[in-house]
Amino acid sequence: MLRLFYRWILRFHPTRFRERFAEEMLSVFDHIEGRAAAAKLVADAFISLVRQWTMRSEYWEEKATGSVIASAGGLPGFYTLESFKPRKSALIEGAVLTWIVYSALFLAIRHSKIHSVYVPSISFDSAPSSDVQFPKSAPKLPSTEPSVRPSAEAIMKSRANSPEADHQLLKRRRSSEANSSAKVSEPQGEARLTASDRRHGTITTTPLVQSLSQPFVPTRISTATLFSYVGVYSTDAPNKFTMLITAEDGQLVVEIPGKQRSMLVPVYGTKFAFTETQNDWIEFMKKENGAVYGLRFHRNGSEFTGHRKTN
Amino acid sequence: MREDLNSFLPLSSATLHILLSLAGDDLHGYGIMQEVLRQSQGQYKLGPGTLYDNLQKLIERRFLQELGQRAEDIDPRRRYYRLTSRGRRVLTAELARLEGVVREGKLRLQPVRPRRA
Repeated sequence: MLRLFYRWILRFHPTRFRERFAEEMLSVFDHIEGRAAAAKLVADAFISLVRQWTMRSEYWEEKATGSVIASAGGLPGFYTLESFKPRKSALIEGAVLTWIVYSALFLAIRHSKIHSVYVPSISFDSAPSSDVQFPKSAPKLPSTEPSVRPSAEAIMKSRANSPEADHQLLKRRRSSEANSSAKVSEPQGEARLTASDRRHGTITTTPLVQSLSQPFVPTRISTATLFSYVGVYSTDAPNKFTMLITAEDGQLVVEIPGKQRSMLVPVYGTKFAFTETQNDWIEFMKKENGAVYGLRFHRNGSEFTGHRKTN
Repeated sequence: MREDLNSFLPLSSATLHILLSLAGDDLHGYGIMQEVLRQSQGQYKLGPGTLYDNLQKLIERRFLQELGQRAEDIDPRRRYYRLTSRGRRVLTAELARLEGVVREGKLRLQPVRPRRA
């Protein structure tokens, strides 16, 4: 029985060792007398098995007899490929090292702070004589409705970005707002005026932004409050750009001149969300007396603070 | 030009005993085990696993030469091994090193004589 076990252990030795020494080792085993001595040899064979697989990998394979091989015609041929094979222990060490490195990498990623880098894509309309320069870091807004595009272009053409130009633009916006609010026939977007709203001068919003991360609470905003947000806001350097907040059809509209514009719907307090996106929002900042002096513009994980330039 | 064999020194106990056992005569594996046991006066018992692992290494280093089987042997599976001249040189170098160790040890272990005033 022990001999069978001993032979079985020898069979699991590396081929080269087994072919060379297994029969001799078995011969030694056959010359040993006594069960205790045989058991010791079994233990010795087991230790040898572990040793051969873990520490003697250089003997597993027959080494190349030479780099020069004979070839036809009497001319020597040469191996062009390296016959080297890595040791098994080296492979195991490499695997362990790889596992450690990957674990460290995943841990670092898991515990790292997310820094989103916003790279805006800017597309300028043709304004050859314009010296208006929009900052490259200005965030991209949702797609522009063609009907309102001329307003932005007007700013570009009139070399806007000056307080005077902003005033002119807002005057036009307010006059169009007055006309449109007088009609109020079909509600656009999700904010609409009801008969009672018109009487009380308030706007009721429907749950357009239900998919926002925070629960949506229908907010009633008076038209006076709505117009208090209207103005030109400018962010600080290095991400300097101008944002126009206007009111159209009972809704706030944000526009970066020459770029894109989007409708805003109230979420809660002074916070407004973009109608097209789910997690982008603008929050207006008020002084103690209620005067709006700036806004916080959150988009694509980045936040910009804008100061009110004009009303 | 003589090859410098000092890089192989010191030899392990198993290697030293195997080389010593083959210094006198060619032996097979079991014979080496018996000779090692005799040389060490029963204090060092070499198992087949350790023996053949060392034989493999020593043949690779050309300290030993495998002679193959002998027809007259009672067990045809046995192969005989011989100490090469290279193996003899390294064994000589190891013994010289050990002599130095023994000499140094004896010197250190001499009883200290008290100085006369």
